[in-house]
Amino acid sequence: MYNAAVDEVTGQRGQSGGALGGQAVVGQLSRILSSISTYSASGQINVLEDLGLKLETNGRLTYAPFTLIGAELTNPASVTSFLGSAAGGGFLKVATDALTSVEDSVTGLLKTSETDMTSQIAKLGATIADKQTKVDALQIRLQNQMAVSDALIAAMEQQASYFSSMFAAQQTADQMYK
Amino acid sequence: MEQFSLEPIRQAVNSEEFDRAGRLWEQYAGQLHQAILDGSATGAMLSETRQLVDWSALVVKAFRAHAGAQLNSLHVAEVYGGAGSRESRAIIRASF
Repeated sequence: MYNAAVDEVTGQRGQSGGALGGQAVVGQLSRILSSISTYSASGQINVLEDLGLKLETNGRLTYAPFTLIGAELTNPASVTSFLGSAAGGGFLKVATDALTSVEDSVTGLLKTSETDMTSQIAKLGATIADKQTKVDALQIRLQNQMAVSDALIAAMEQQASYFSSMFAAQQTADQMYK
Repeated sequence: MEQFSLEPIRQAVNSEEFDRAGRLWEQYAGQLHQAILDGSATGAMLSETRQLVDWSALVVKAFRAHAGAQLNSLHVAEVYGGAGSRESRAIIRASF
């Protein structure tokens, strides 16, 4: 489960990352996952690796069951102390708090990120609609101007030809009556 | 005809104010018509008018080419831009 979450977060990163690439939530989730896997306590068993859960360089955890069995056999009290409880303290408290900070239906990171993104999408939608309105107006203006310019040239051509003919006819008439 | 210059028409065409150019042209055409009728029109006036008409036709041709290209790019942007934004929204929704 932990490794699946790590893979999902890692998959969002980089140029070929997922839809959340570049979003702050990716880094925040990564830090929360790290806070679980790098938990340390004082005592004979103080890191997860002492229980057979080794953190690899790619962020995933690998499990060596015999290490856990060995720790349980040789030092059960330290194992219990390290793990603690979800409400009391120790690793389980840290892990539970971390998951709550992600999953809480009101204040959790996923919920607040969803709310933020919904808001951003709504704003983006409004901006797109506004730009579209301007583009539509420009389109209509250009089409109207093209129609008006066509009409102008047609009128100018027609009237200029008419005046030329009229002027030439008048010149001819003037010469005839001179 | 003395009081009416072709320059305002030229300026209106040049600034792509074709509506205004049309109104100014109608005024000018009325005055030129009257000048021809009363015999005060000259060959120079007709020649200047013809030059204006030819020049305006060139300006309108250039305007149409530019406006046509703009309309075409708006159409292309609409086709590609519209599809892209819909897809992005779907991805963001799916990720939650």
